[in-house]
Amino acid sequence: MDDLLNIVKGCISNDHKYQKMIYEKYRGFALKTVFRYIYIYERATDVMNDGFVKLFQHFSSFKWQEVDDLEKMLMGWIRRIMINTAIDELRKAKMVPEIGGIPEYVWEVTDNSQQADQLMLYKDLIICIKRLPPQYRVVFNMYVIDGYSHYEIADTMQFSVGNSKSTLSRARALLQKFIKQEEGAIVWSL
Amino acid sequence: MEPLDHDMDDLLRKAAADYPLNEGESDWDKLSARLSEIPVEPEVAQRKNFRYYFLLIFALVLFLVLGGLFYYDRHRNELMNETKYTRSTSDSIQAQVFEKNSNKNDITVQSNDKIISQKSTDLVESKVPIRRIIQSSGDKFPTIVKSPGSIKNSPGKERPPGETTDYFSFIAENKSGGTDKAITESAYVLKSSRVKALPVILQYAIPEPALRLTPIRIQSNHLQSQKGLYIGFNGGPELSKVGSQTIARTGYHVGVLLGYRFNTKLSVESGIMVGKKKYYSMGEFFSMSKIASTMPLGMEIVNVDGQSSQLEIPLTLKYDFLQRTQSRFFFTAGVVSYVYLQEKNHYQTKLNGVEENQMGMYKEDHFSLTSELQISGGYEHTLGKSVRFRIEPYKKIPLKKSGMGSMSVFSSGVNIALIRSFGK
Repeated sequence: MDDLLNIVKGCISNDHKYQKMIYEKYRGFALKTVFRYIYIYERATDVMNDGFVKLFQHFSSFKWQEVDDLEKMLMGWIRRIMINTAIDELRKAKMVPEIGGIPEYVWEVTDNSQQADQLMLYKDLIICIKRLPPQYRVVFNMYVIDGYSHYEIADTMQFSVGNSKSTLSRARALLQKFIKQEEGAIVWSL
Repeated sequence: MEPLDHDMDDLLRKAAADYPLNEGESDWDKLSARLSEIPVEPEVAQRKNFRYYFLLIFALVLFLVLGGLFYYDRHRNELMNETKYTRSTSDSIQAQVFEKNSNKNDITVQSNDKIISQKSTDLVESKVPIRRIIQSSGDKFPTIVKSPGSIKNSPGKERPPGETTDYFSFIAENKSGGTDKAITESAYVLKSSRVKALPVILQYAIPEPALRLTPIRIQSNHLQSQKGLYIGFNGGPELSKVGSQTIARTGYHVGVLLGYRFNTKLSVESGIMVGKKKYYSMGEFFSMSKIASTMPLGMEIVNVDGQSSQLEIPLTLKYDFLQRTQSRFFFTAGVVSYVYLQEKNHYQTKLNGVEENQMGMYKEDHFSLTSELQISGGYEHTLGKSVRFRIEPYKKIPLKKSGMGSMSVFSSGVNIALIRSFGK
């Protein structure tokens, strides 16, 4: 934690050495967060880098209370910035649904056979989430995965709380349909 | 289908944290270069969507204008029904006031300089339809204009108990025998029950050399008398194409037509319609600018087969260039505005030499003012007193590019309408 505290202080001072440490340490976490929102892998890496630019530009506004909670608070702050950057990107594209499949090279291949099944399941679930239309995907990710309230979602997306709730409900129904299709595909392949 | 439960949510949260994503190579050098530059945060313009407000104001103004014209027209008709007199422009016309003894059928006629009494037995019943009458100005000494018309209080006829004299109209001539120049083109019928406080004008034959009453027959024109508001239902098939490419499938539009006729030649029309345009385009005519970020890098569009749903709001001027008793020929010109609702495109795409079919569905709430120029010509035929049938081929020329592919879509079709008039 002392190391992390020094790194954070170094980032506040705009020291590139410490900024690189933060980047390398949390790049995977940031990319996984952004990739849940942004459909195209290459766009997700660009958005992630945009998010880190914003992060380092405003590092001085990062506040913490307990040193023990520093990493948790830092990761929460990074996630919030990445989510906002991803939503800005989707808004620029006017929430237009994406087309095309997800290429296999975006997935990490694991050698550990014990974890392989579990990771395949996680991968399939994430693919189902990514198949949702952009607005559904955002609301579902923000509410279910990232723990935002409907008020926060409505404020971010600039629509009503009622709209957020109804969008979530439709997203859940559609996601369930996708999951059922995936289950059927798995059974068929077996 | 049961909704996703909390266990499923927990599983999804674990999946989101641990799913196997290829993190790729570190991009620190590029990031460092960006951080070394002076940071300039791009401002996200918070624009209110004024389009909805504009559409609402536009619809409200249109409603107020058409409603006001309709009200004015109806109110003017009521005025003409209630008042009966105007001063003649000809000095030779004798202004006359008539009074009716409500207890009897005898009629007392009073002119400017003498009183004439006339028995009801002298009342004349005419079978010629009423066409032209006077306008009223409330002058003290009105000019009574008499025209032949059926009256219901002719002598010898039994009237239902309690019913007073019904309808009357007049056209008068001046002393020299010429036609009163104050005769207007509008026609109305007086209702005596409305004028109990006023002298009643009755149709009669007066053997009075000072006044010659001569029936005037006026040709009526059903179409010409339809001034005022009209409403109808219209719809028809529509063919759309992108530029000069092939036409793929047939679309349609259907809706409500509103119009106001100013005179025998000119009308203004608007309305609201729901429509679906269906089109086909080769990839080179489909702009990728709106959807490039939603497609894998390097993907090309070979062709697109799409359809879009929209609300159409036309605003056109109609000119009747040839009119007959029961029909007319016309042409119209104007603009069409759209509220785009949804677009569904089937793409044939190519990526790394491999062709695939993809589908994109886009929900839109996009308003485009004066999106197309519309010109048409057509034929109208009267079916009844106030009902007309219309057939109208049209052509729409795009003034703006539309859709996800920013394409120029030309449309042609035929409108078939049934219209009811509320004018006189």
